[in-house]
Amino acid sequence: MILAALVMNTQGKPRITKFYVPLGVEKQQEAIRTIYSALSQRPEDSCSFVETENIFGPDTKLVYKHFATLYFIFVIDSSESELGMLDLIQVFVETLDRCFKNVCELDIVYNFNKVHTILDEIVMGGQVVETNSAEVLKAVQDIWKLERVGDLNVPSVRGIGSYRSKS
Amino acid sequence: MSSQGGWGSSKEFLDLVKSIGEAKSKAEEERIVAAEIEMLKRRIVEPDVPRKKMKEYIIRLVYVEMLGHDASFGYIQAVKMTHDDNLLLKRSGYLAVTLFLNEDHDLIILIVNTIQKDLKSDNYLVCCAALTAVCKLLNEETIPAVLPQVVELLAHPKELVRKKAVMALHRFHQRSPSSVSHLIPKFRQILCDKDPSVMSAALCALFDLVTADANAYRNLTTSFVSILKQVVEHRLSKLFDYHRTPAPFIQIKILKILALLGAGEKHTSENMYSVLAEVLKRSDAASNIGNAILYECICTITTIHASPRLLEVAAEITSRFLKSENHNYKYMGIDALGRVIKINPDFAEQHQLAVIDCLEDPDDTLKRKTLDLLYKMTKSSNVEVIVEHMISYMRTLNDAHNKTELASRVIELAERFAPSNQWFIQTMNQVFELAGDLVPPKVAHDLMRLLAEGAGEDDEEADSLLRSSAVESYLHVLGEPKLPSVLLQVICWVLGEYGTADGTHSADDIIGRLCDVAESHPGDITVKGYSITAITKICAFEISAGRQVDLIPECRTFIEDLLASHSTDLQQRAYELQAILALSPETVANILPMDASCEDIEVDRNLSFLNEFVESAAANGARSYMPENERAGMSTVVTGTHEQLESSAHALRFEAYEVPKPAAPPPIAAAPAALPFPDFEEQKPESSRSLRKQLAADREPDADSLNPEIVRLRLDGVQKKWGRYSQPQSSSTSTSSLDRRGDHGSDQVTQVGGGHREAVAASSIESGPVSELRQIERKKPQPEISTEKQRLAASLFGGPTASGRFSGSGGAKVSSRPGTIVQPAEKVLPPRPSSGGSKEKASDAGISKQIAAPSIPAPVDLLDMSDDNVPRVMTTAPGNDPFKQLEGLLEPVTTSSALPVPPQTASMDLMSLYDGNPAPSATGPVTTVSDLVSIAAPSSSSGASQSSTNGFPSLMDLGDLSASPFVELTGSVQGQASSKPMSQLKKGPSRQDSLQKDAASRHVGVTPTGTNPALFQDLFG
Repeated sequence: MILAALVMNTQGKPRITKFYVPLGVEKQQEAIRTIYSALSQRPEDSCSFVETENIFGPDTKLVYKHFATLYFIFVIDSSESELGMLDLIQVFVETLDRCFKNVCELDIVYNFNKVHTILDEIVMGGQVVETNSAEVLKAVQDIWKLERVGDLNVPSVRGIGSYRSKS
Repeated sequence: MSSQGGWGSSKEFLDLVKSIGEAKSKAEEERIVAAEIEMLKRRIVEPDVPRKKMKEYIIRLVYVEMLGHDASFGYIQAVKMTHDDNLLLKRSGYLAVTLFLNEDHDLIILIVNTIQKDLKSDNYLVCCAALTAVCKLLNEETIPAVLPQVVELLAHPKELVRKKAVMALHRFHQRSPSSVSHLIPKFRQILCDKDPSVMSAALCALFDLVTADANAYRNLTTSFVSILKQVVEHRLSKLFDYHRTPAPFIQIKILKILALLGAGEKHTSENMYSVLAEVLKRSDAASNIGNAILYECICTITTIHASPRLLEVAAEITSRFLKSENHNYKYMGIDALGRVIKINPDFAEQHQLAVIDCLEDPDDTLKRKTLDLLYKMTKSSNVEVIVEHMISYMRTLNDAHNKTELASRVIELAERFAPSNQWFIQTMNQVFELAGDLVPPKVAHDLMRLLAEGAGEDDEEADSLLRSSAVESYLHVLGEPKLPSVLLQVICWVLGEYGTADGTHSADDIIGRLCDVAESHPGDITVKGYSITAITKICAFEISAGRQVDLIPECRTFIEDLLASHSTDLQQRAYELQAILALSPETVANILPMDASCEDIEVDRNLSFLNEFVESAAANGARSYMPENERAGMSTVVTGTHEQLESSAHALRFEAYEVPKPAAPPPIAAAPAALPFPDFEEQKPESSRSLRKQLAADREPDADSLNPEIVRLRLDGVQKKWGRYSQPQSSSTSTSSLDRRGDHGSDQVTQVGGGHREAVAASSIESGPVSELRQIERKKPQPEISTEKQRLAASLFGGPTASGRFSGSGGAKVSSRPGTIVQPAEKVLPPRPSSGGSKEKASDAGISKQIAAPSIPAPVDLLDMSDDNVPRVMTTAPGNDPFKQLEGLLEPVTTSSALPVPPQTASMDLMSLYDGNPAPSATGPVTTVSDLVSIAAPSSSSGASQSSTNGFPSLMDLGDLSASPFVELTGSVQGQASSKPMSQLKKGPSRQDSLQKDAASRHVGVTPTGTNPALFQDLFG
């Protein structure tokens, strides 16, 4: 099963954290730190797998992919396929991309509840439920459509563009 | 859809994110977050917060908690929000709750009711939200509350809901199998759901169920096979395609299930063969997901009952993975290789170079995976290389977990395959140094045992040499600032036992070092104990050798410290030392004889020698013995345990029993007087109070006081002596062995003067310094990586490579290696020889080059450069590794071919190389060279006849000859050929014999009755 799904940036700041196994807040932070220090040390062309026995117990590894300023990480045990997880990350990112039109780190930060919704449609209780990004998008949009009915006052935000270009 | 600032994010939240993003330092960030938390704490308890505002607060709480700050004050608000009717708020509430709470949190009980209600909702999205929450939030106690609703949803018209309901049930099963046990048939049913996505959800659950009990689901094999067949044949809707691969995750899941079902089941497996072949055929090897499926096929094929045809394909795919430039595929390839060689061990040899590449890759994961693989394929022929790699990897590690694991692996390999004791000791020292206290104490005891018992050969000289070198290395190691306790214990013990044995170090010297050890580790009682015991022993040896012991001031202070120590154990030891100093040499020699750590301690469990005393006491009106359990009061028991705790006391304490008076004089004072030797022997049993020795005695139920001589010599239970307190054993000393020991002690001392050099030289040929040599050779600059790699490969993969290289498959291998000079060299070579002057030699050179091409990639016109290579290779020739020898056999031919070209000869080169080495042995390697050359020449020409690049008629004869030497060569790989160097012979299967001989020699004049109880079982068993 998938033990955790994480998105963090290349500075080690968590952007999305979702643990499918119970883990205390402290432990979660420790895991995030350990994972970041493991990932940041890895050379560019190394493989996408890191064994994480010291964090998540025996036979676990994390599969990660590096997109621009973000690491997308799935922590899995031996019952998942490593290469398959790479494609699951691909599905996740593709969906985000479709959803946010050229997704960037800030989209994920500002809309992290949305991102959680997307992730919930792909992975549920640690198991992969859907791998077709079009299907995921459809389900997510159904939810949003309904949610909008009760939420008419969308706060408009200004000044993001300037911030975005700065970072 | 707007990319930013959609609903759910307020201006304030965006500001928060922005300011955190712009924070210049960690402290500034902390400050911002702390202010935010304060603000939220105030706001959320305000009355009448608008619900939408509350939602924002909660989202901000989630964000704050994601950054690692405590947001528990807001949990209750999140729980409340799940009750809201508005879907947006409800979902936000569920999201926050699933992120905040784990299944055992107290607040969960407040949500269960809401979940129940939501599961019954008409709105399928509400159902879905509840189902998602259910996966995270429920535990064993709360599952039954929602189970009926979830089961109902299995029949929901929307497949999305059905799918999630299945997932939720699966989750319940994971959490608490008993709560859903009655629903397990449902999973089979769901497998037939008309919607494939629901079916795929059931696969996840079935995978778990099959993992738990494959037999119960074997009848589903045909269903799985047919599902997989349909998937592979693209019968599912295009919706399930992922990058044109049909439903890859379903394929992978089913392949995993099939592996579980088919393991060890011939019939079941046969049903899968055709579909597996189909999957293999149709998978797209160009895409990542296609390779994921292929890898899964390899796993399945290597797990189920083997089909040779499929295995072949699996091997082929594995090769492709290994050859790939992509690190992910390499990783999978290494993993797959590990699986394939479980069935077909010879397969590894084809991929040795790829494996070496991975081993040397900077990628840590890949390296570790490769070490895993090597660990699985370690044999006695490659243990040195593999362990060396493991240790050098261990150096780079700094987390305890991995270090412990690696250390235990190194220890296991070293114990199983150690080629020599010296190597074992060196390896262990390295492990102790690197992994320190992560190493279990048993390993230290094994190491001490090995030192004490020596090589198990009939060679006291080699043993004492081993010990001397251990002493030297430990004195050196003591210079290091921080040493683990275990290693210090070993060091103290070795210094105490053998520190002065060879005479190079004075007693004061060693005692000084031991005091330093104790001083620099004031908190470590165990080390102190070892240290004081070692000092005691050294003093005892000095006294029994008739020398005056004048303790250095440092040591006196140390003893005084211990005399007042809080630890009674240390006190006891210190007092013993003081007592021993006052004794006569004779007595001391009895108490702590030289090098007696391997002697057995005799135990007379009947205490028959006490009969007389008991009788006389009874006659004098003493009360009769009352068994322990009939006595009230714990005092006796306490005494018992106390005595067990007391350590090296047995040498002294038993004196108390010897004097048959209730008011015994202080034992030590009585010792010298009451020590006529025959009596001494009888007193031994008294020291047997400790449990350990009773155990030893248990092993000899026939221990009979009538037959003490014979009984004493049995070495059963030797390992029992490796308990902590066993070192200064003296009690087993019979008169005869005492004499012997005396002689032996002086032997050791005298031998050191004259025979020392010689002995060093001898041992350098025999076994030890191979690794040293190799180290030297490693330090040299390596002009050609491929040579190094090739050799590494050779030493790792052992025998079969040789034949592989000769039989032409090696050619393919070589040419497939990218980026080396091998290929050009190969191409250039064949014409060269004909242009050379001396036909025979030149052709030899060319051919042997061609055969050993990967080893010597230098182009032919640089032949004189290859001289640089030659000595390096030659150093490995006297090595222990049979394959290394074989390689050595090939390389010298180059030397001979190079002879006419440069002014110096190869042998000169060799000599100059050995100049740099400690204790050069003039004969050893050189003779090997010539031998090797003569053997190698014909065998290389066999390569010529096979590769048929040039058919010199004169060579054909030699080619005929070649058969036998070649066989011999491969034979030597298996460790049977006669062309082994000495070391090879030394560590042959005769170990057991020599062990016995050794035992015999230790007990001169007495016949051993029992076989030595597997002294080296741990090491070589």
